Amino acid sequence: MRPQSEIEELEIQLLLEAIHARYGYRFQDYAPGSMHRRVKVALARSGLGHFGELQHKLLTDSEFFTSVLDDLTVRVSEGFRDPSFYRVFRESVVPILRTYPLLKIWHAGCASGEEVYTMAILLSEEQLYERTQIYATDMSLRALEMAREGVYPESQSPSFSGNYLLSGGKRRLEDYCSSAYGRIVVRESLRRNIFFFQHDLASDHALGEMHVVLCRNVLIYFGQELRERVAALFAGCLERGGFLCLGKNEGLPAGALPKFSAFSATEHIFRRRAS
Amino acid sequence: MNRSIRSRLTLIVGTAALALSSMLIASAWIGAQQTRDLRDVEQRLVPKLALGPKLESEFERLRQGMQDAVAAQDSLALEATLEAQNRMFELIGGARGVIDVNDAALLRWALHDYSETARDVSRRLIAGETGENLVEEMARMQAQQAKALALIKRTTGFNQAELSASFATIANANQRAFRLRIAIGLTGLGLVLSFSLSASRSLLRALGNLSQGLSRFATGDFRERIPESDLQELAKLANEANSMADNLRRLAEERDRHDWLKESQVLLSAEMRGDAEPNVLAARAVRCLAARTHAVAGALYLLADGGLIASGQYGQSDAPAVLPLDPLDKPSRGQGLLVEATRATGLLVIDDVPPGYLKVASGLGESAPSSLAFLPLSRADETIGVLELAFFRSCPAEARELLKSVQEMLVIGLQAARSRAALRDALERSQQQAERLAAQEEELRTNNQELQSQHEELRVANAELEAQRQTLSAQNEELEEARFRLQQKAEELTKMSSYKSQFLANMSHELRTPLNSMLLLSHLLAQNEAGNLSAKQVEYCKTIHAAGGDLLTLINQVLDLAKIEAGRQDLQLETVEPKRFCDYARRVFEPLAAEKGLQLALDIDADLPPAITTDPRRVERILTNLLGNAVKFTDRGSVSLRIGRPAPDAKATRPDLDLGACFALTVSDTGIGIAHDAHDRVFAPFEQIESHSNRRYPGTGLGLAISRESAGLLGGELQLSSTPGKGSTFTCYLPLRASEQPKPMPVVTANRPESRDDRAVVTPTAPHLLVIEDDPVLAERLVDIIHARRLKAVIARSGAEGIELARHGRPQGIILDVKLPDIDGWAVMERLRSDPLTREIPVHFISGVDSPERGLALGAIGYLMKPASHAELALAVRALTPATADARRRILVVEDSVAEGESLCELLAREDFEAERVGSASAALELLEKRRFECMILDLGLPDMDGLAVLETLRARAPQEAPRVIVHTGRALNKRETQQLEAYAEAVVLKEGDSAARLLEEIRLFVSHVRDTLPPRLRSQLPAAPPAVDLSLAGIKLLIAEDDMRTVYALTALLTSKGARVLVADTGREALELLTRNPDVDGVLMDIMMPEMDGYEATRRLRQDRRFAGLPVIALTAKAMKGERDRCLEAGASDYLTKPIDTEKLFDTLRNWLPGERHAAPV
Repeated sequence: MRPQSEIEELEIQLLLEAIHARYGYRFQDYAPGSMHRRVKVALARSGLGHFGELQHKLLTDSEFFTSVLDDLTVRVSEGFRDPSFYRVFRESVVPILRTYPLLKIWHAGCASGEEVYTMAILLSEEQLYERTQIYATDMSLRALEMAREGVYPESQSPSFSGNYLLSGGKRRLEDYCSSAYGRIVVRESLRRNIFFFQHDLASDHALGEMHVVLCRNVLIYFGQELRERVAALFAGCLERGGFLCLGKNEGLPAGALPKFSAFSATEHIFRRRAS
Repeated sequence: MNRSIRSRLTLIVGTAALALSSMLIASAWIGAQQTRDLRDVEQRLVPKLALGPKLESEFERLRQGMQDAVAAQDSLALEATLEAQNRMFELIGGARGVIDVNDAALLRWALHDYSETARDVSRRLIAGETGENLVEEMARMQAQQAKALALIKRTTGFNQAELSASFATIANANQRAFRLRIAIGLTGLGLVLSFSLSASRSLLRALGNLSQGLSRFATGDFRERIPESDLQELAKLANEANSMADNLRRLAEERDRHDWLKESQVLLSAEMRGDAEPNVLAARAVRCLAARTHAVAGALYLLADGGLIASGQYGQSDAPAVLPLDPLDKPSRGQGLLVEATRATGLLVIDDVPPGYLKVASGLGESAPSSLAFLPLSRADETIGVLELAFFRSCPAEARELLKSVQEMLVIGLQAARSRAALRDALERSQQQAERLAAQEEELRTNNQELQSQHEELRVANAELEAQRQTLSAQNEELEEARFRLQQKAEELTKMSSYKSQFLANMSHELRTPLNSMLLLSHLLAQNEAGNLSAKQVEYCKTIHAAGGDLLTLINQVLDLAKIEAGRQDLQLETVEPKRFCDYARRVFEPLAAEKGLQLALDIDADLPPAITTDPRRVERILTNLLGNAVKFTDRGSVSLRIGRPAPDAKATRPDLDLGACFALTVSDTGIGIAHDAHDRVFAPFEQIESHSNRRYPGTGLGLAISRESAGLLGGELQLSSTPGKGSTFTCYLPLRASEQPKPMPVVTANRPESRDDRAVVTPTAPHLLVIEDDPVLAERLVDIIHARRLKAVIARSGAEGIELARHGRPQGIILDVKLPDIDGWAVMERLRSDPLTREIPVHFISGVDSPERGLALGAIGYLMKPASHAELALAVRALTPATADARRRILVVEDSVAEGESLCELLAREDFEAERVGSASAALELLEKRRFECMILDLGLPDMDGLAVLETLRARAPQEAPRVIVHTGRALNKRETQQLEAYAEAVVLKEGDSAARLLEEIRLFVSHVRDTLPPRLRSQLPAAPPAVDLSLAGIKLLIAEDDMRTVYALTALLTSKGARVLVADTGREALELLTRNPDVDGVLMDIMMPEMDGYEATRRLRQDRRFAGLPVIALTAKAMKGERDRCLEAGASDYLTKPIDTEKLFDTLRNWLPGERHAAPV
């Protein structure tokens, strides 16, 4: 008789396989600990009795799957999250980006888009936004929908303005968003050069010729193999000398180390070496 | 006809009474008649009847009295009986009129007779008489008695006929009376009946109506009133009932309304129950209220987050979703009312809404509502939103009432929902945060584990190292021992060698003597003075002589060397003029040089002291060897000897040699030269550079060894510089005053001075490498290697020193050890990287620690593990010094601004590039034709030619020869321009930000890389080489819509190589524009992920154009997800290819979709 936990693990594994076979989302390669926790959360929320039921419902009810998908992915996003990162970006990366006539930035795993607009604000302050095309991708269509709307309750990020100033913001945040009655609506001018698109890092091919790839706090949810894949994806799509920005607690997987050099060790900014 | 029941009843009763009374009257009359008749009968008959018994009883008394008197024999009593007889007579007299007079008389007579007889008998009896007479008397008496009785009977009996007649009269009268009564009764009955019937009928009808109405009312049906009855009382009753019904109806309506309200409230509260989102709740509430109040449209706006948000809508969907309440924004249509409503406290109803204000449409039509109701959702002082409802008719009162009554409920419900939602959001967020924390924790844990395992590995490695160290120390001991033994051996060998040398030295005389005679004799023979030798024999003799000469030289040299090595060569110092050597050289070598047609130039410095102290023979020997070699290895040109002071930049390798107190013998030639790597070997005994190949140049190979030894013996040294093919220069530095004590050369491998590096001669701008390494042996090896590359080297023994030297010396590259005495190499690296002065300097690690990832992560260009072979070290050095100063470091700066161009050149020169500036495109093109440059930095704003044109010209000229181009411009470039430039240029760098740094970065990048002839953008993503498919796309026009230029270039190259013409668009919009301008396109390769308009949308729109309905559109997508293919095909794509694009598949697909006759069929 196998121990309970092992059976549960097997069930979750099968469930993820089923999702992949049915909908094409590859969750098998995610970090198992985190993934298993989230599958359990999804089960608890669904009110169903066990994984078998959950699997059946997921397979037969695509509406239900869409809602479960949100449980399976973690979406925490915040404007000017980690101000020190944006400060370093502004002070060290931007001067180099200035030398490019056109900029392409890929924000992989943009969730509800706060950080995409953050980058847009930063770039427009640095007079770079006009020549920038931002590709913001996420796996979840619902998250993308929110990101496209660009309407955020200020109450959810009280530190937004503070972070903005900490990150070296030069103006007032109100110049970029209409902020009234506790609500922030991103101005149209900021959305112009952002292209939101669904993209699954676990299964899709890379975009091309990026100067900057932002993939912050995404790799932490991935398993080792997937990290290697994603890092290789980024290495493939970055121009030589392009920047890869990872989250605070993330590192490059070993396989990608030779392809990158550290640009800012504290903020986890890496540069693509010439191959 | 309105009559009362009373009158009816009165009528009936009256009628009945009349009938009765008339009957009574009739009866009375008839009765009287009958009474009369009866009285008549009675008066006549009854006394007669009554008389009979009376008479009979009186008669009895009479008889009895007589009998008694007889019995008693009382004659008196007998007389008393007379009274009875009188009473009978009185009775009969009283019955006059009753009894016929005749009868009465008869009777009296009879009675009287009887009584007389009876009394007589009785008296006789009393008297006692007996006899016959008496009996006879008695008999007569009895007969009289019977007669009297019979007469009584007859007289007092009825007269039948009279009675019958009387009775018949009475009966007749009676019958008449009866008939009369019947008639009266029937009439009265008929009347009463008819009245009663009519009354009861109308009564019943009215009652029926009444009961029907009442029962209707009882069931709650108040619609129909009870009809007005023609009976007053009932009419009143009906009226009462009706008014009661009215009351009831009012009450019912009241109750209904109340119920409806209650029901609505219950429904609404049911809708508002549950823990739905505020929006959902609002939508439900609006739907519910609108349905209840028959509103045609409705919306619930929640005042939240900066405006009124349409949170729930009914019947109307184009209401604005968000109405920002920014005070600066002017209120737009309808908004004013909403805003007003938020400020109101109660229900606000607007009737007579102007037409066109709002239209409510259905499938069949549309109309404008006429009434609007706004309900502010406020409680206490707080307003959370507004409910708006629109009605076709005026807002009904009950709707108003309902709205008022549910206000608070709505507010509470929505507030609760909002706080719930907020709570849920907060919970969600905190859960997500927790998840992130957990993931990060996990990540950290994983990292920790990794560290742990690395730690473990390190420990294992350490243990291994320890073991190795122990092994090594054991080996070291062994080595030490071996070394000791070797030393012993070496000493023995030295001893033996000196024995050998001594032996050889001793042998010299013995060898030379016979050889001399041989030489002499052969010389004599060769002269053939006797003339008896044939030419051939003379030739032989000459050969013998020459061979002997060679042998003698060889022997001499061997002996010389042996002598030197044996330390037996003594110096014979003399004071000589330097000129002597010149003379010697001229004497000996002028003929030889003349023989080979070489020019021999001899030169002596004037500022040499007139006399020097040295061993002239040894100097001459050196000269002989050097000049001899020079002449030998030079076929044309010149050989020169210069005797003078050492050159100012000369540098002695021997530490104890002071060049200031030296003179130099410099022998130069224009001969074959010596390869750099052979410089050391030429000085080795018995070495000849060409020994392995052809022996074009005879010789023992000992000359240079002897010369070097001799120079050393004299306290000087011999140096060589040479370029193969160009000639060699040997310089012999010798002290002006040689010392008696011979000074042997220092041992090469050990005890080198620490300052063997070049820090004294290194200036900040001069290219050099910095070696940060505390192991002197390795440092020296590296310096040797660096020197071999003709670079200068500076050694730092510690990290701090290294950083200092790096900051000040700005070396070209740094070789960095990890284990250093003060701070470790990692820290050094980080310090170097954080300092802008040193950030750009490439660093190569050489370390005993095996963690290349760490080194590379820190930005090192390479990582070498110790122990490293010579070749590995050399590679490391080469990696740091990517190119020596030659064409690969020549850079052309095309910049019309002098100041800018020069400063750029300066910058490049500091990086050890040869930079040259020209100010115009034509000058650049001219120069490029003459010389080859590795790289060209091109400014676009040139006075004479457009930058792009320059690039095109260059490319057209000779693609292989064209330099790599970096466009450096201050001009803002649009997308199209950038793309055009990038097709030719390696990089486009704007004169903005850190452009100098980036420029250098780019230059360094490709100077250190193998030259690639592909256009720059094509290198990274070229699909696999096209397979040998027989696909011709000649005449085919294809459109590529793709924003990734690498893919575009690759596809374009591929497709044009097959003969296709290719158009490129980088957004969906542009693709459509291009298509409308080029409707003859045969096929489209459509990327899905493009900005502005994606591939799905572009394909969809394209299909809407009938011209392109059949156009093959092949979708290119990076997405591998399920359903992607279907999405593409659904959008109208003909086929679908996933990236990275497989060439074969691409061709297959094209073959399938492109018109058949244009390309060859697949084989």
